[in-house]
Amino acid sequence: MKTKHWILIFAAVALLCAVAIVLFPLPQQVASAADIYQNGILIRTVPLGQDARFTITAPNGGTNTVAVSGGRIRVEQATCPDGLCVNQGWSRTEGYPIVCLPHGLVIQPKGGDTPFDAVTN
Amino acid sequence: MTPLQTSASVRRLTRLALLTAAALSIHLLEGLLPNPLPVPGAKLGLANVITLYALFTAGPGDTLLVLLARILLGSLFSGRGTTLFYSLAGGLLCFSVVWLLHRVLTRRQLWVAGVIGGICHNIGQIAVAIALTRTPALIVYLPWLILCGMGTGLFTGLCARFLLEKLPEKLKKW
Repeated sequence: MKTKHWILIFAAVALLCAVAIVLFPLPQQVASAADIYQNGILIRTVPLGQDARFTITAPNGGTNTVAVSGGRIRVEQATCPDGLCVNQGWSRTEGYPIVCLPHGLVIQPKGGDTPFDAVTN
Repeated sequence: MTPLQTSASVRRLTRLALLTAAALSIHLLEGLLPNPLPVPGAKLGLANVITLYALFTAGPGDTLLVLLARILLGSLFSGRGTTLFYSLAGGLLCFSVVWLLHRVLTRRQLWVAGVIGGICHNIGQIAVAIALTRTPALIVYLPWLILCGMGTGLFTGLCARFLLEKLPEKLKKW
C-alpha cells in the first residue's frame, strides 16, 4: 500500500476516535465526602450529600469558612492574605483538592461512585 | 555441529541477548520518568523501537523471543505483577498484527508499523483491563488510548526507521 493510503486510514481512525471522545466523555468521579486536613492532620470528614456551613480556625488564628452545597465544597470566606482558597471555587472531584497554605488547610474530596479503581492506574 | 554453524548460533545468541538488554534498559529507564500523558496506562513505549528494529532485521521468531524476554523481565524488575498481563496482551497482539503487516511495508514505511502497533498494544491492554477488573465501562478510555497509541507509535516507528537508516549495514545483517 502507498503511504498516502495509510495516512488516509489513520486520519479516519483518529477522526472516529475524536467523535467517540465527544460522544462518550470520561465519567466524572464525583466525590461523596471530603477530608479536611490541618497541617497534615485529618481534623474532620464532611459528607457532601447534605448542605453545611462551618468555620475552621487555624492554630495561627486565621479562619476559613467552608460551605457544602449541592454535593460540592468550597471555601466561602477566609482571612488569609491572598484568598487563593476562595478563588479556587467549588470542588467535587478527588483530583481537585482545595488548599489554603497560610492556614495549613487542605480539603480533599474522596470516595464516591466510580467504575474505576486503583488497578487501572 | 560444524564450526561454522556453532559460530552462527553464538552470533545469534549474542544478538538476542544484546537486543533484550537494550530493550530492557529502555523499558526500565522509561519507567523512571513521570508519565507525560494524561491517560492512565498510556506511555511512550520506547522499548518497541527495539521490537520493530528486530522485526525488520532478525525475523519474527527472534523478535518474539526478545519481546517475551523483555516483557517477563521488565515486569519482574519493575515489581508489579499485574503489569505482566497488560504487557503480555498488548505486546502479543501488537506483535501478531505488525508481523502480518511487515511483509507489505517498506523500511521507509516503518512508522505505519509503529502506529498500528501502538493502537493494537493499547487495545490489548484495555481488553485485559476490562477482563481483570470486570468493568466494561473502561471502554470509554479506548478512543483516548487509540489516539495516544497512534501518537506514541508514530514516534517509536520513526525512531526505528532512523535507527535502520543510520546504522552501518553490517550491523543490520542477522
